Amino acid sequence: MKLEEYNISVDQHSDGVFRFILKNIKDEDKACDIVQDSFEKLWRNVENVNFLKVKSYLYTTAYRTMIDLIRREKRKADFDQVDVSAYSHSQHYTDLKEILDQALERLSDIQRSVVLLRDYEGYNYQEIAEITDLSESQVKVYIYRARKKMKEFIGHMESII
Amino acid sequence: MTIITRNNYEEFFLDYIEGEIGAQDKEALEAFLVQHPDLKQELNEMMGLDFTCNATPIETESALLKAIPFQENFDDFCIAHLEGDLDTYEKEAFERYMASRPEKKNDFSLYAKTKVVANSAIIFANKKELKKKNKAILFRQFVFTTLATAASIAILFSIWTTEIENNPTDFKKEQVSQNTSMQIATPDSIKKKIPQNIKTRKSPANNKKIEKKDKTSKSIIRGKIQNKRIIKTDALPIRAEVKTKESIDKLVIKQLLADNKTLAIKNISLPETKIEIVEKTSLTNQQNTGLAMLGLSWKASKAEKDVKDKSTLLKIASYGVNQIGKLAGKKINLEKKYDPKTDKTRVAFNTLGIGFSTPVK
Repeated sequence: MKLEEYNISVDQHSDGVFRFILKNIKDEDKACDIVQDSFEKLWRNVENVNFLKVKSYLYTTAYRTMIDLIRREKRKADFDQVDVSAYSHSQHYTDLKEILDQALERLSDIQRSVVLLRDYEGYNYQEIAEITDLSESQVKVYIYRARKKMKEFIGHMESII
Repeated sequence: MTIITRNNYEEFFLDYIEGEIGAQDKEALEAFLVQHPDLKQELNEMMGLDFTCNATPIETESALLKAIPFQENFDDFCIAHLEGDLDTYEKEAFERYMASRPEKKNDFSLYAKTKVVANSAIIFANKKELKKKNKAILFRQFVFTTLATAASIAILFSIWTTEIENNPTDFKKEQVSQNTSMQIATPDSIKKKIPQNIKTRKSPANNKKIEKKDKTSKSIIRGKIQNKRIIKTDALPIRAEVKTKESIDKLVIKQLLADNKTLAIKNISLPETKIEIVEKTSLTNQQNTGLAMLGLSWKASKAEKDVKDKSTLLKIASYGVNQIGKLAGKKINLEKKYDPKTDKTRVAFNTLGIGFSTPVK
């Protein structure tokens, strides 16, 4: 990949990667750091990365960096974490978007990631499998389970509202 | 990069046909095909294939559709429909099934709501920081900046040199006046500058010796003043100040010698002191830096008017430097700053790549 192609990649994919990470970890600063780390890694390997596959490379790098971060932070928070969302009141949710956000937060990290890759970027199962280092069938199972969970949550909230 | 072999060439062929092969892989593939002409023929055959298919009408009343277990796996079919995992027949059959089951529509619509849509208003703001610049451009910018800096310095000193050439006499006078606030050149000047408690005595001969005697002491100190001037300490740059101190030491410790002049100095602690001052009128051996000679900080030894004249020179030089900076598209500064902590005035020259400053006081 050439310098110009790298800069085009920044224009084309930085927003998407940022949105994907931000939706997962809900921390803008950390999302920025992960995006920057991902592009730095890309720049270090710029000679070896095919421009046509740079999007997949960026999402893979960002996803793995994010998973490492989540694991580190989970280890720290294991002893004092309280599931605040379990006590949330339904009246806090005013529209579908907020409900959907809450539904997403209730998913496991891996379920959330595969759903976001699927919905945000339109990746197919094989591409998601490459990014998340899972098999295609695993990806499919995660997505199906995630959809069912989300559907149940949304249905439950709608019935309350 | 994966090496092409007879076991994995199909993958490369497909990428090649679909136009998704990279430049390196393409070169490798072409080299591979030269070595394996039989596979080249296979590639040509693959490229000639027509993958388009004509849509055929679906027999929705087919018995096959009835066999699909929508009822048992309704959720999975909803998700499969949402994810586009159903083939044409299944999709058609499922939609017909849904049309016949209105009670299921609510569940189906809930699944449709699980699709997450990206918020395009969220953008990554630091794209500029991520982008890289060409090293050649950076190098060119650096070279250009350096050249601009060199040109600025050249202009600065050419202005200074021109100033000297245009007004050599004035410059010399100013130089002397700004460096010499008290000059022992003639008996008259000595009389004026030396405090009244020093008595001056002229010898009738051409030799001008200054003798100083004290009744309380009999010691006699002799020395020579190497400099032609005695200079106010607050009127000089650092280098000149050091020189002044040396001169004063020589005055106190040794005898002061002046050309053919002798000063008899009274009322000092030494009982008897002979001072000889050797006067040298040459002005060629002055020790000053170029920037100091610009007179940028010698205001203490000059009248207000002289200071303004020198400030004008600095302004001209600054203007020249600013113009070069504008031409180069860079910020280049030449400015004089006073640091109250060190009680020094510095002339600072700053630009991208090069910056220096010189204390002038």
